[in-house]
Amino acid sequence: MRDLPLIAFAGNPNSGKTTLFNSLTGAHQHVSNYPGATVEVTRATYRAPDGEELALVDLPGTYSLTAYSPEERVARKAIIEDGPIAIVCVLDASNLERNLYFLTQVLELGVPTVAALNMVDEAERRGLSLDTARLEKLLGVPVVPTVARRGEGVAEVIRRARESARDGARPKPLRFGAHVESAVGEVLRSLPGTDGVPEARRRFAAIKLLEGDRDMATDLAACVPASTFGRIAEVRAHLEAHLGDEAEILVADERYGIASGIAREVTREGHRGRVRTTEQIDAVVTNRVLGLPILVLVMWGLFECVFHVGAPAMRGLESVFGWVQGAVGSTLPEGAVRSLLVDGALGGVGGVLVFLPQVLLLFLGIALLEDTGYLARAAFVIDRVMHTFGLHGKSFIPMLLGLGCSVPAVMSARTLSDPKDRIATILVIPLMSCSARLPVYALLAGAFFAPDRAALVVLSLYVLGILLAVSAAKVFRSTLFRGESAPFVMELPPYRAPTALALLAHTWERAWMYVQKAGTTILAMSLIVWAVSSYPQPPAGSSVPPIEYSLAGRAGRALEPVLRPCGFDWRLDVALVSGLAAKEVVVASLATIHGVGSDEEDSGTLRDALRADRAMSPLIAYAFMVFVLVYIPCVSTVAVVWRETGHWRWPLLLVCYTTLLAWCCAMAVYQIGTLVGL
Amino acid sequence: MEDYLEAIFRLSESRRDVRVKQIAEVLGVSLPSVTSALKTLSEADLIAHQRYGAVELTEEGRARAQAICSRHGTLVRFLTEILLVDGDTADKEACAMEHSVGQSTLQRLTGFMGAIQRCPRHDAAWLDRLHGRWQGASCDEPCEACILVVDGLLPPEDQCPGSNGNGDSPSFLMPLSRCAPGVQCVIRRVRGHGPTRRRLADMGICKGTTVEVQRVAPLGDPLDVKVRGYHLCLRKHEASSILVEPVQS
Repeated sequence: MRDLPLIAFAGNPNSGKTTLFNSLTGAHQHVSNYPGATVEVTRATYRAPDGEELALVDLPGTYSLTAYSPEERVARKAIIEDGPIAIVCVLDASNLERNLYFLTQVLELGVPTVAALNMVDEAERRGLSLDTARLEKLLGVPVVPTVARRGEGVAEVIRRARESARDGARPKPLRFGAHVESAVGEVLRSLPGTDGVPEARRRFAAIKLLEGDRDMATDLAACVPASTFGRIAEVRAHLEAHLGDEAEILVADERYGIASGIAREVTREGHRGRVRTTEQIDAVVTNRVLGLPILVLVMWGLFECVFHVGAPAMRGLESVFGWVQGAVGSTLPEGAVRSLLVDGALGGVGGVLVFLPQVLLLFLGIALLEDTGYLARAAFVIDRVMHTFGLHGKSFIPMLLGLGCSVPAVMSARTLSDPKDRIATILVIPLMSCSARLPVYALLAGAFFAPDRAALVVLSLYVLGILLAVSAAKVFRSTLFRGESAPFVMELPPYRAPTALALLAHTWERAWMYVQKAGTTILAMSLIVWAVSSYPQPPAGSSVPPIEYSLAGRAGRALEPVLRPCGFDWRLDVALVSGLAAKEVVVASLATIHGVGSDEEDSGTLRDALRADRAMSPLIAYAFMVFVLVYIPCVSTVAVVWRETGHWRWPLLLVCYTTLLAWCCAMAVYQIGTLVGL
Repeated sequence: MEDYLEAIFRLSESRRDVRVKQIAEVLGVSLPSVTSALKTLSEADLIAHQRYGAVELTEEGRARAQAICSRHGTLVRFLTEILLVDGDTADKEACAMEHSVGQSTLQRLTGFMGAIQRCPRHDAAWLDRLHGRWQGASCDEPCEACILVVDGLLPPEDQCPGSNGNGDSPSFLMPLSRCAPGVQCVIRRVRGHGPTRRRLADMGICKGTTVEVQRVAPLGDPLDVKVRGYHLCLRKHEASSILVEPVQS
C-alpha cells in the first residue's frame, strides 16, 4: 500500500466522510494508529474501473487544522508527510458555512482537492437548493454532489480527484480581507527561499506562522532563522494591535467571512416548511422533564439487551468450550501437557472468548447510539453530573458499561477526545463492579447473610463501587490530570438513520480487537497463573492439598501478614491471588481450598464449608467482598488499558492504586467492624 | 417611630393639614396604632397634636424628619444609582437600612455619594463596568488600561462592554449563558484566549454571528445553541465568555 498513489479523505465529523469512504472500500479496511499517536486512521486499497490501484486513507474528522488537538495534528501531518496526490474534502450540504470554513484551510495545503458536497438529499428536504456550478466557480476546485449513504456520486468523486491530480491542479488561494492579507504577504516575503518550504505550501506555512502555530514553528525551526521568527512576531503584534484581537482569531474570522459569503451566494432557501425532524425529536429527548428518564430507559435497554439477550449465546459458547476441554482432556494422557492445555490455555482463553456475544451486542448497541446521534444527547443531558466529578458528559456511557465488563467499557472511552478526561475515565472504570465479581458476591453473601439481607449487601457493594469510582475521578482530576478539562464544545449532529454497513463495520472492528489483543495477552497470563497454581507439586503420597504447595499457595502464605489487618487468613489470600487472572476464578479457588470439588461448587457444599470455617465470619466475608470489588482488575482489563492508553505507566498505576485502595477499604471495614462489635 | 415622623413630614410637604387617617393610609397601619405612636412622638416633643385635630411637626421634629428623609434619599440614590436596585425595592430597603445602620455609617455613605458626584472619574466607565459585571459580563482587562482610557491616553474603542464611542447610553451586553431560550442574539465580543477561544472560533463563534439558545439541559447545564445552521453544546462556563446583544426583531 505504501507505494500506491494516495488519496486522502478529510472533512468535519458527521459529514458522512466515513460513509463515503466505506462505500468505496467496502469491508477491506485496515485500522491502525497513526505513528506516534493514539489517533486512528483507516486505510484501504481501491481498484479504479480502469484497473489502477490506489491507496485511500480516511483521516480523523476535524473542524479545523490547528495544532491544538491530536486529531487535527494527525490530519495535517498525514497530508503533509504522506504526500497524497489528491484530497477529497467532504462537505455536509446542510451545514455549508462550517464545512466551507474547514475547506478553506484544506485548500491552503496546495494539494489538488475535490469537494464532495455530501448529503444533498437532506439539504433538499430542508428546502435548501445549492448551485453546485457557482460553488465550483467560487472555490476554484471541482464540486461533486453526493449522497454517500446511497453511493451516489462516489465514483465521480474519485474520477475528478484523479483528474485533478493528473492535471496538477493546485487550488487557487482564497484571499482574506486587506489587513490580514497584507500581513500574510509580509510573512511570505520574509520566509527564505523555497528550500525549506515547498512552493505549494508557502502560503499555508505563512498563515500558520502568522497565527502563531507552534507545530509549524517547530517544523520550520531548522530552515528559518531566528531573526525571521522575530520579524514575523512583529508583523503579528502589529496586526493584533491594529485590529484589536489575536491573530489566529482574526484569521478564523476572515475564513468564516469567506465561508459565509460563499454559502450565501450559492444557497437558495426554498419553502421554510416544517420544523426539522431533529429539532422535533430533541424537544422530547433533551426536554427538561423527559430528558433524564429517557436516558435511564435507553441505558437500561442497552444493558438488558447485552447481558440477557447475550446470555444464551454465552452459555452456548461455554458448553462448546467445555466440550473442547473434555475432548482434549480425554485424548491426551494425564500429565503436565494435558493440564497446560485444558486448564491453562483453554480454560483461560475460553474464559475470555465466551464473552464475545455480549461484547458484540454491546458494541452494536453503542454503534447504534453513536451513529444515530443519540450519544451526543446523552452526553448533553448527563454532563452536569459528570462535570461535578471532574469528568465529561461522554464519560457516562463507558462508566456505565463498566458495570457489565471493564474490557469493552475501557474501549468505549475512545469517544472522549481529551486525553486527560479519557485516561481519568479509563482509570476509574474498573472500580465499577463488573459482572465477573457477581459470583463471588453471590457465594459469600448467600453463605453469610440471610436471604433478604444478602440482596442488600450486594447492592451496597455496587453503590460503594460507584462512589469510589466518582471520588477517584475527582481525585485524579485534581492531582494528576489537573487543569481545565477540554471545553465542552460539542456538536449535536442531526439524527440520522445509520446504514447497516456502517453499523456492522464499527461493531466488527472493535469486537475483533477485543478478541485479538485481549485474547493473546490473556493466553499468556492464564498460562502463567496456571503454572503458578500448579507448581511446584507436592511430593507423591503427601496429604497436603496441591494448592498449598504451589507457588500460589506459598504466595498466599507469604501475603498473610500483609492481609491480616483485613481479617483474611492465608487461604483467602490464595483465592485473591488466583483472582488476578479473572475474578470468576476466585470462586473456584475457594472451592479448591476448602476441599470442595469443582462440580460441587454450585451446590450448598461450598457454602456450608465456608460457614463452618472458623476463620470466616459475616464481617470477614464483607471485607473480602470489598477487597474483591476494588483490587487489581483482571488481566484482560489491564491488557486493554495498556493498549488503549499506549503506555505501561497507566496500567501500572491502575494495578497499584486499586490494590492499595482495596487494602485500605477492606482493612477499614474489618477494623471498624471489629471495634463496633459486628 | 421614625417612619411616622417621615410620613408626617412628607405629607406636610404636599398638604396643609396632616390628619391621622392620612398617616394611617400612607403607612398602611390601623388608626389606633397611629394614635398611640403620635402620643409617643408628642411626649418626645416632636409633634403637636390635638385630638381630632391636625398633626404638626415641632421645630425639632421637622429637623429630625428632614434628616431622616435626606438619609433615606441618600440610601435610595445609593441603591438605585450605584447598585441598580429597582425603585420600589430600593424604597423599602432604604427604610429598613435606616433603622439598622448607625449614624456614622450613614454619614460616610452620604460622603461616598457626594464624592462620586464630584470625582472627575465619575464619567469614567468604571461604573458602567461594575453594572456590566452584574449583568454577567466579566472584566479581565487590566485596570491600567481602563485608567489610561480615562486619562485620555488610549482610545476607548470597545474597552467598555457595550459602549459605542459616541456618548450614547451604553447598551449592556449579556453573556450567552444568561440568554433566555428562543431569543435571537448577535455576538459582539468573545473573551478569553488560547485553545478554548480558538475552538469556539472554529465552531463559528465570531463577532457579528447570530446565535440563539435553543434549550438548557435538564440539569441546568450545558446549553444547546443554534449557530450557523447547526446545534452546538456549550457549558455555561464557556458560554459566559461570549457577550451578545439581543436582536430587536
